[in-house]
Amino acid sequence: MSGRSYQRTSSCPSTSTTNPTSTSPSYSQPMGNSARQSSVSGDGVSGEQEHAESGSSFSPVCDGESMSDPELSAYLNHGLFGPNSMQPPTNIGGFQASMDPRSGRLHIRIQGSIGFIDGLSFDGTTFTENHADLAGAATYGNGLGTQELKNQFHADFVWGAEKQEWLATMVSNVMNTWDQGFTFWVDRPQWECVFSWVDLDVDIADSTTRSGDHLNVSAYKCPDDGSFDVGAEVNSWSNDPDATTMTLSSRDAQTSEERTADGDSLLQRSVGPFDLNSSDLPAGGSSTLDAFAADFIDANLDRTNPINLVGRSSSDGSASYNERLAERRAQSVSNYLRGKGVSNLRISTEAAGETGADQSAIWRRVDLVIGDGRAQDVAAHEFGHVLGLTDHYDNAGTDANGDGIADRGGIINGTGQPAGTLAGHDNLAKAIGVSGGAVHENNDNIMSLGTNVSQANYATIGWALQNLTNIPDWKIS
Amino acid sequence: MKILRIIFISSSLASVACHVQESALASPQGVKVQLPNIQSTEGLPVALAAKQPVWESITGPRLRVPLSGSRLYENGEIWTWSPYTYEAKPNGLPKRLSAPYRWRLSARVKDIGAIQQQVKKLFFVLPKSQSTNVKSSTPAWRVWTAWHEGVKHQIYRPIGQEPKAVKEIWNIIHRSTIPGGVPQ
Repeated sequence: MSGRSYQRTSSCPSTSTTNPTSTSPSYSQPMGNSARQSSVSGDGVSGEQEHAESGSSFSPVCDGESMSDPELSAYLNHGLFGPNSMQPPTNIGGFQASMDPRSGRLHIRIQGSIGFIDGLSFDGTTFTENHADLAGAATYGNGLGTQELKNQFHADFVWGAEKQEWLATMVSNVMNTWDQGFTFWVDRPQWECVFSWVDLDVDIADSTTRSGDHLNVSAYKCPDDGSFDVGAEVNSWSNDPDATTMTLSSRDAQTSEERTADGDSLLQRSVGPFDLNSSDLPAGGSSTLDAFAADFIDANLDRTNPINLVGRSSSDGSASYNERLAERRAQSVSNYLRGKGVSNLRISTEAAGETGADQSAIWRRVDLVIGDGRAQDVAAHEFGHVLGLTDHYDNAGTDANGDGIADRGGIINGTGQPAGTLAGHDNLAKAIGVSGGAVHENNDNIMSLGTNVSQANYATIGWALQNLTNIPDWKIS
Repeated sequence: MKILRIIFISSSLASVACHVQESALASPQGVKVQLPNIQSTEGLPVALAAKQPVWESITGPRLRVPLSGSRLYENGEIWTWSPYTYEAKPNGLPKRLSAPYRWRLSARVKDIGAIQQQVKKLFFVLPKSQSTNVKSSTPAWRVWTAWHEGVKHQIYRPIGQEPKAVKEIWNIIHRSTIPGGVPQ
């Protein structure tokens, strides 16, 4: 057992004088993120020491008038709240939270261990799966006709020396996604001087379970090309915040950018190929667009899943003509979607013309991009569940009777809910001042199909802050 | 030793898997949890479509992991339901391609009689469901069904909580798979 640990933590805001009774300026703002800290270190690295130093560098500054409020005075002089192991009322996930009222530092710590597991075992004759999702892979491997092919096939399911780099990348991706610099303030008169900033700290060790672990991760090695894969998931047992398990595939450490480049984004589709010199929808185009419209319903009509249509053409003909042709193609798709009830206010069009194109038919298309179009960082999504958030995608591809036809016409399936259904943390999001709450919708949010973290995604962190301090008036900014 | 019991919904989020089964389950709030099922026989030869398989395994859909199923028939053929086909790359390894959902022949096994006996011995003794107090981010299910001499037995579990006996049955099937039995 190597016992190596990989840890990333967000860093504190800038330095400010710590003096809650000072008469100096009554309002002090944290200044957002500075450089992040990371470390790769040996056994049992504790983040607490590092954070204790960094956390002391910022403090709210309250003046004498504020301090006449006995509740505020009691809060500022309370000392550290926690650390407590906490599981939000969504009943999933778990983390440790502590809050220092002097520095404003809300420390959210996810500590866990990881086991690297080969996707398939092979005894030289027979493959057996180490995760039930890979039973089909074992069946395929056992059917291979030669020993050489079997050996090659097996190699893609075996972890090598890349484990530590994989772990470092995974944790780094999670931190990069979740460290958004949101702060909290207290919505009470005379409490304007009180702030909280979030120090998110992910510490996952390649070791046996350590004291204080909340999470146990199992990472299964699967082929990089996704030919066979394990579905990522998080399970929580017995409502115990210290007993969460996570399953990942080795592919789940890929960054959003890498997955997007691989064409793995659920937020991008294409219609084509159009006939040469034509902007009429191609055969099959209408069914593609029908499914698109079904998948990307705008819940609450708040236009949080805007659609950009990028018309393209092959390099046949002049560049200026192709520019206009591409625009007509995008407009043709736009007209069809509006005919399906998609609001014109959500749609923008763009003509890429023959940019990057050759003469092949694949360039005669329109790309449909939802939001920023970026593929989801899957590990970051799963850590959202560890923070207690629930999914909020729409499974419009559900086929309830198993006849191969989606009942609601989409292609996104899974265990989501129809657009507009309230997510499990909706009430917690509203409680921290996110008026729109959290509803199911296919968009570029991290708990939907994308990788963007919004204020609503800090709902459970805000809940932890409210519960730690017994102050229900914390709001996000 | 954990004592397991089922809770389906413990928040305002209704945990609903996606495919209908005759035995839909009621949560404490009355929301039905539906088990995966594949009614279609698309792709199966007519002779097999009318028969009960010896062994069937169905996995409910999750985000990025579509509904899938496998059936082992008495003639030793394993058929797979998925929206994928596999073609051999130049190095002989598989490349996955998207395709319409249908049943596709994926392998052949020998000694079907021995497999049937093991299925009877290991599987028919399992309880239909097993309670669990797990709350999953992806509350999907696996369903396994076996037929032996006209008797059907079916069990279901949340994904991630497969019984040991099921894995043993798969291992028996794997050991019986004929290399090169299906052109790949």
